[in-house]
Amino acid sequence: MSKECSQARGLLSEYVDGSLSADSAWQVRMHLTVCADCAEALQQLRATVALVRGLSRVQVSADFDAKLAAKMSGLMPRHPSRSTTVDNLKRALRIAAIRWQDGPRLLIAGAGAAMACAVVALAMLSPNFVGTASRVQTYRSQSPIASFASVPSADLAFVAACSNQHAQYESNQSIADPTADIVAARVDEAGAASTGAAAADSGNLAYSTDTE
Amino acid sequence: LGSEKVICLPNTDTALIVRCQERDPAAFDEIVTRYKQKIFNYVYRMIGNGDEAEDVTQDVFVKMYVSLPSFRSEASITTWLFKIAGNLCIDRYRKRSRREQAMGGETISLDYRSEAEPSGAGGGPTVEVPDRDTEPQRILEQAELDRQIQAALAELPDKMRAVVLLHDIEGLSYEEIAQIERCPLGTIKSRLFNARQQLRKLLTPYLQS
Repeated sequence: MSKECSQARGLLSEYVDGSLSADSAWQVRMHLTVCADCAEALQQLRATVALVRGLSRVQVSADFDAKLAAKMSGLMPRHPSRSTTVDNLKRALRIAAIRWQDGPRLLIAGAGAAMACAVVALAMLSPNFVGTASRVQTYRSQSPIASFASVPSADLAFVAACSNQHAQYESNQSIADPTADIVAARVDEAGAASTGAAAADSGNLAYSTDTE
Repeated sequence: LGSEKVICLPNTDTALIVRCQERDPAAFDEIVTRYKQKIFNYVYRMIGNGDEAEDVTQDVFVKMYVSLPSFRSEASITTWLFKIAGNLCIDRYRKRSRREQAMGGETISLDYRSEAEPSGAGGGPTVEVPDRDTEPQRILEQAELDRQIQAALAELPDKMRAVVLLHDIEGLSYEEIAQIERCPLGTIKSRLFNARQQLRKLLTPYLQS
């Protein structure tokens, strides 16, 4: 076997995988055009790889999962704790930290988050937000049971929107506040009393019970 | 209370590992579902016995779960699982060779039925065979070819067989295999080259057809 053949044969495996540099691949290709033996060796190598790749896949048996579960018994928690907002936040931070190596994508995401923060800050400085915040402060200073009967329908819509937003992020958590049921009942009562006006103000007034 | 909303948790491999580290059983189940066939096929081709391969595959996931606190995030879950599988296969070889020495020798049993084999032949699970493979002659030929390829693979040294299986069957890159085998890239390329040369010689009668 000539020196060129020996060099080319040593690269054929990587040539089949397409992992050679462009320069090396070109040299092998040039040699193959003039050497029938090496071209034949390449064909045999390709056929061998194709045979191995064509090996049938075997399937695990139907009781694989049950046997694994038996091995895992004692290792797995029996009653996994439900995740809280803090847990979810911690998890998101850990995932983000792991993905930090992805760099550019995360930088874009970070820039997006910074822009979102800026938008929220601007919104908080706007007159509408200040008005809403002062209304919330007013209701806080009153007894919840006494105040909801006189709440304007637009503000009830705001309360309902807050409630829905809370439910979106905390739908797996019951509200710990012991007065929550009383407040919800009062919201329902006030909502029923002002159905006409509320419907005119907003179509999203009803308190969503499917998220409790 | 009314119906509960379904919370969508992230399902990337990274997120699954993080959830698994928090002992979330659903995340563990998802990892098992995603990887059990790949790991089982690798282990089966490495040790050649279906029941033993299932046992080892289950141990891979148990060991993964136990080792979660020490999982380094720079490794991918694929390379991590194959690394655990490779180590457990080596343990199994050692146990087996001790047993074989004690019992005076035993051949590798190829008792598991592949997707290509007809149901009812030998042990193993029931497999749905695609319509295009239902001709009995073709199925038998493929089953015979599988046996010959498996026998040729069994002839290879363990380290070469591992590289062929990981690269040509499981589709891992040279770099991923180098991580699993803790070897330089050149060593992996060299093992693959030599393994293919040996397989070419062993499978010469089947190359023409």
